Amino acid sequence: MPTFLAPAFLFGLLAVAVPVILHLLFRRRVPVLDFPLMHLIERAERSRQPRRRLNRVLLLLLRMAILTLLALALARPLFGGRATLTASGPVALRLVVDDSLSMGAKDEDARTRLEVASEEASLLLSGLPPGSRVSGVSTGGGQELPWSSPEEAVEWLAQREVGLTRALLGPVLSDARRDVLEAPLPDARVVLLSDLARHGFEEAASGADAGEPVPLELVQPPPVSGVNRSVSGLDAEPLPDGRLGVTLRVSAWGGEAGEVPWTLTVAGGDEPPRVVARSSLSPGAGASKQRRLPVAVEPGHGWSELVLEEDFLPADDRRHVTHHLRARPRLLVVDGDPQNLSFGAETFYLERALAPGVALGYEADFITVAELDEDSLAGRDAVLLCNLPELGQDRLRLLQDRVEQGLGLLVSLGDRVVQAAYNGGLASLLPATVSVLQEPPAPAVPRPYGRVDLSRAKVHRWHQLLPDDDAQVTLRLFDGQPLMVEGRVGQGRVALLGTTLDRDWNDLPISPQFLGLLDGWISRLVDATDVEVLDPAPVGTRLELGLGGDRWLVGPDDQRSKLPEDGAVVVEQLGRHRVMDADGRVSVSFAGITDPAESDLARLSSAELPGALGPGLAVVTPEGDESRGGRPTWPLLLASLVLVAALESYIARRAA
Amino acid sequence: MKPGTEEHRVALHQELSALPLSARRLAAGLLSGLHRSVQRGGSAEFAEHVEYAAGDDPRNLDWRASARRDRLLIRRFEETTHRRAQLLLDASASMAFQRRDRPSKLDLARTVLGALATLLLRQGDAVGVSVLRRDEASDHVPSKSRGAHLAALLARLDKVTPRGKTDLGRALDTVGARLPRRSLILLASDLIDDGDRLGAALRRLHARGHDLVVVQVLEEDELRFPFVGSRRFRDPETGEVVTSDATAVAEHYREELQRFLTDCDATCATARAERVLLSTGEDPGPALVSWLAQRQALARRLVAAA
Repeated sequence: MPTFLAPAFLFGLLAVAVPVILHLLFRRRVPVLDFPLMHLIERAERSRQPRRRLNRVLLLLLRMAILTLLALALARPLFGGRATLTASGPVALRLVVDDSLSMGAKDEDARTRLEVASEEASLLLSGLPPGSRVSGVSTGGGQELPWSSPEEAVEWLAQREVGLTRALLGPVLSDARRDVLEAPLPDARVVLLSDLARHGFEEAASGADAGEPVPLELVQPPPVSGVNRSVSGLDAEPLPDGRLGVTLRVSAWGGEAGEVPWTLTVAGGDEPPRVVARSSLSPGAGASKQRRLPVAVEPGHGWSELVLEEDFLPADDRRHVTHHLRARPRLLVVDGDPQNLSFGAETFYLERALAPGVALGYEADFITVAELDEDSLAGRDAVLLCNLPELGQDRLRLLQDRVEQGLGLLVSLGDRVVQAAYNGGLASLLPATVSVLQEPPAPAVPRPYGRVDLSRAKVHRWHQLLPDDDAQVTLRLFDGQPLMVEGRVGQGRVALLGTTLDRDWNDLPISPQFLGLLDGWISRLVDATDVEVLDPAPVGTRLELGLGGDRWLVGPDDQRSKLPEDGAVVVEQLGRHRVMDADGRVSVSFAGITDPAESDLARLSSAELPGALGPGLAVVTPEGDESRGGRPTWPLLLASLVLVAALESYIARRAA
Repeated sequence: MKPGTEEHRVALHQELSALPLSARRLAAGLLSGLHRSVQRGGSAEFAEHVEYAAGDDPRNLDWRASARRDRLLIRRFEETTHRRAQLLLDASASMAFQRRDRPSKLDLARTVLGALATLLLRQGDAVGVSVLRRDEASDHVPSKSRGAHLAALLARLDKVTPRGKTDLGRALDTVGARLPRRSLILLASDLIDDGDRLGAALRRLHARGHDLVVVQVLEEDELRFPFVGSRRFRDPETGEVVTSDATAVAEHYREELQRFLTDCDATCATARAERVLLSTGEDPGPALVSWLAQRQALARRLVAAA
């Protein structure tokens, strides 16, 4: 006997009477006409009667068949399924719906695993004994179903949609088990709707100390056959030559994928998106293949998108990554303490940090103070004065003019600094007064600089800095003393570091964060604050952006939402995300991606299932009964409907 | 002018009366010519002289005129034979059938019979009327030849109300029994009846020496069958109803109609009755004139043959 997912539509079978009623009504409405030669009409009717009567009966039957098929198709019958669970009385069921990304895999009828499982579960719910109660929860969050009637549960199930997150079934099942133990009926069970993908059970459900295991009914949709191809990696980073290095990786899950065509689109700066490469990769079964390619992109913030040919799980066939390609500033470093041995030079560590092709890759020239003139300053974005004793009046005026026009200036102190000169002539440039030299017995530790953790760095000696009123302290020691003060002079920005840029007074240059620190300082000086590019984050991840104030999160659909005060966001969409300030400047960007684990559709075996569920849950579904709902026939019914309608149309036209 | 009205009827009378002399002769010939060979005697009125030709009756030679003109001349006469004619009107319910603004079949039949009565009375024939209803002839108006008799005839025709079913065969038999001598019988009917019984009755009338003319009147829609879609048809005589897809059945109907008309023709032919088919959708004047012309030609051929 078939069972029906939407039995209410069976009332539609009453519509079969409609053609008959219409026929009778139509007959009554035809006006009667007196016609003396009616015996001729009767004879004419007799001569065409057999075929006509046959046509009329056939048309009536076909029209009734159309309505019958329509009602049956809408009622969605299933054949061969197990429509009920074994229960002697009312039961309480706690539905656990796995709506993770892998449940979005589509079969040949374009039905997702979640749809198939929901239909089967609806079937099971429709066969529950009277008085049964059902509640539900989905792994991806969303609205929970409190204890309700089975009919309400069917409606709730119909509203479930496949999410983009990864399923972590263990904790959800533990909670479900606890809820079931407090269920309003003695016969209470957990019903799990899941594809039982292995990655969903990395954490087993707890409940070993709870005594008797709770029965678990399993509604598992049949697996989708085929190989799932996915984008398992997409990175983009600036190359020393100014181009963007894009690394893409394609994986095959469940078998050989053959040739997997891919298309890479890149956008950067003011340049619109453009397809930069099309090719294919052939990852082996369960393996990945990657390709790295340099792409010429305009400097600025941008994004890349890799798209594969769509398969039965489309969500993981596309991935984004964001990048920021900065125009390289041209620097002039003035060594105030030149040495014959390079190792002893004030700028030894700077040279290595700025060296092109090795570290930051800035274009930098190193000179002594005697070489500082108009020519040497031409075309520079920033100047670094390292441990300079003093500047002559001419050079000071020249430097001041250039700073006022927008040149960045970083001044680091050292043992050659003449304090009086810094607080005298140079004071018009500097944002702080250079005060006493600090040399505590124990080294001081700087506080974090933005997101750069400096807790392992040590500062042995520094000049106390007394910031000007309009100056900003950008780096402090842990006791609160300013270590770097920044201020504006005209259009330019000047930063004063209270310690050296070599290892004489601190070990900052040998700390792992030195490059990031230096990069951040120079970026601020040239007023080219970087967009902070975060690693792609799977949907559902909570990101601590460390940003507050008046900022907005802009999603892939260009919808803006206010960034919370704590600066934490949960990634909800696939694609490019940006954090903008009130002026529309992007400060942070990242891409929302699918969790790579969800691309692996490998299932737990029945032998592995008890271990994955833990001792608190016991599967009661008969082994091998993976498809509880049986075979859906409504597509066949709809196809028959179309055929019968076509036949009816043909006969009706011929009869006319 | 609406067909079937009194105005139309008067107009038709005038049309037939205004026929050219030859046509009026044709009408006269119609009403007497066929019987010249079987009914001799009666008075003759001189009409003209014509030159003698081989085959002419030598008794008609006008010797005096021949002597004056020095050639053989034959006298020709206007025959003024007084005939008895009986007009029969079918009063079955089917004769009331009327569509749109056309006259009913009964109206058309009354018009035609009235026109022919006018002609007959003008040439001095005695004309009577009988109405055929159910299985008998009733509402008789005796045959008289006075011109004032026309009003009585027309009044009788106008009073006829169609109803019920008429058994034409039996009704004609009662007519045959009533008519004492050979007469001209003019029957106006749609001939919707049992063809065999009707044929037998006509043959019996013919056997008694009556001269038979059948004017079959049918409604235009009966001939054309212009209906489309699903329709319900009711037989006005029996009340029986049939639902039919008119569009689908039209072709078959026309075949059956043709068969019906052919049968009517055959039925009349076996009784030597002349049949004229008139439609309510057409002006009966031209049709009658055409028929009269054919009949005159036939009469001449018969005379010539005699």
